[in-house]
Amino acid sequence: MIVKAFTSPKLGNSSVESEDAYAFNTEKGKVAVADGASDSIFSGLWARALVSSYVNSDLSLRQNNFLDLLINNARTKWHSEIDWDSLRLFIKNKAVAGSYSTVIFLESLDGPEFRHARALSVGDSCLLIKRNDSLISFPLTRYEDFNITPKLVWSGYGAPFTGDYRWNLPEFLIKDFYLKPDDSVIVATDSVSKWIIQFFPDSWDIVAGEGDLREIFTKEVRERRMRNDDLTFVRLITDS
Amino acid sequence: MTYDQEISRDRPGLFVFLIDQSRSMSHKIGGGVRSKAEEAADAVNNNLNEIVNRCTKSDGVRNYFDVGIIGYGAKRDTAISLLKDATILPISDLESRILTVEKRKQQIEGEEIEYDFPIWFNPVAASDTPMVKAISMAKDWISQWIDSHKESFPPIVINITDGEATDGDPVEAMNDLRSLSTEDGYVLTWNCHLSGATVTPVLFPNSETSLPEEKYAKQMFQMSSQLPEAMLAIAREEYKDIERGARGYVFNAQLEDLIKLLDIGTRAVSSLMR
Repeated sequence: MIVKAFTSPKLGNSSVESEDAYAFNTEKGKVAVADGASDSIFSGLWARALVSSYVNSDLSLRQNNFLDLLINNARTKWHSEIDWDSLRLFIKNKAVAGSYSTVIFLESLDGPEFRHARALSVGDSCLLIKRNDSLISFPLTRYEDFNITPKLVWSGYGAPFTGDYRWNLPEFLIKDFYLKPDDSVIVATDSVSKWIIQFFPDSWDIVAGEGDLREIFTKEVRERRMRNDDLTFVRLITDS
Repeated sequence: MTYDQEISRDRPGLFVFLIDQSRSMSHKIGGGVRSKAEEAADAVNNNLNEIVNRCTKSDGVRNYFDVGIIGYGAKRDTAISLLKDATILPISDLESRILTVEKRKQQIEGEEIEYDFPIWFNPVAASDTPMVKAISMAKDWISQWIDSHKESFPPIVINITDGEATDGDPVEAMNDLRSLSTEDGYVLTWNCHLSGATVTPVLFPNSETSLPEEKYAKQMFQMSSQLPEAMLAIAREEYKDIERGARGYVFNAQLEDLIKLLDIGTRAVSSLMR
């Protein structure tokens, strides 16, 4: 399997300000993409904790309590990377509420073959599969269904809370896919997903092509076909 | 005039609050236990805190907004900036203008959490109602601000008062202020009339016929801008019956209406933040 990734911050922001994250591990057959919520603070850090805790561990979508374990691991990572004592007033006031992110995990259930895959999603980051001339997408299938209030994974509170409180698992969707040799696969955050679905098949040709994506996406944003947002996707090219 | 310019650090928005500090603001707000001055100060401090919160990211407070606060009536025939040694400030500078912090509690995901609530100005209820002076001061500030922010979303001016101006015709002064514009739209002026009585408020009316037979109500209506389409949609989330052509005006407002009015302004403009 060959993996190609693209990420770009919203126009006007620097790359360190991006709140999207992606990670993959070809040996373990794992891909994850997360989109930290702009309304919360340290959400880029939370998005990165979610995807890295998944691809770098032995946690698997086969496990019944996968999401519970993953969030606990990611929360520990997120919490330890913030210097809580040094935060200034406004950041501290906001950080106590924790961070939020959408996330989608994709895992091969048959090793490097990547024929039988499982996806678990919270929110509107999507798995997109091009099969011949049609598009399969998960969890959202219509571009009109993207809105500004997707389901989110919460990090739990920031300091002074340490972890001794109740929290509920977020609503998630899980689905298995049987990939065919000529399928083309993308895992993407919301704005890219919406744009691919809305302008398919031309959009697919663009992301799979050799053009300068930053330049193309800038034009799409300026002409209001795409939202000005952090943009991230991972493209899997399965060996046929 | 499209009122849809994205709000960014290159093109920040501007909020200017005008706060009546006249003697009558010492009277209790309708249905409440605290004075109108206390409730207005609390609501605006809270709203400033909310705007700061929306602009706060992991690396600090980003200057998506500038802010100015004018108080009028603390001294006879006088309007002054309530931000110490400043007129209009970028939102990140508000941290250095905090007068004091209070311990308050908020509910987050079902837990009660204590936090430090910043206070930028205290309630005052002292003298007459020089509203025209306050509007003229706002016009001077905003005129200068627009010179360097021609492409920004237009400034929003929110006037909170309980009485009639004692220094002239505020309609003319407000019309003068509203004639200013950026490339995206004319200055938006909202008015909130606080009531001491427990009476039914008139919320976001779209014509003078929905107002009570009162000179002051008509005057304030005329001083208020029509809500642009995007703001109308957000206002409807709180008040379903708002009709097209509605103005940013609440007559006989209770505390809840004041808070909602401020919140609608913040949410509407924040939705354009990028």
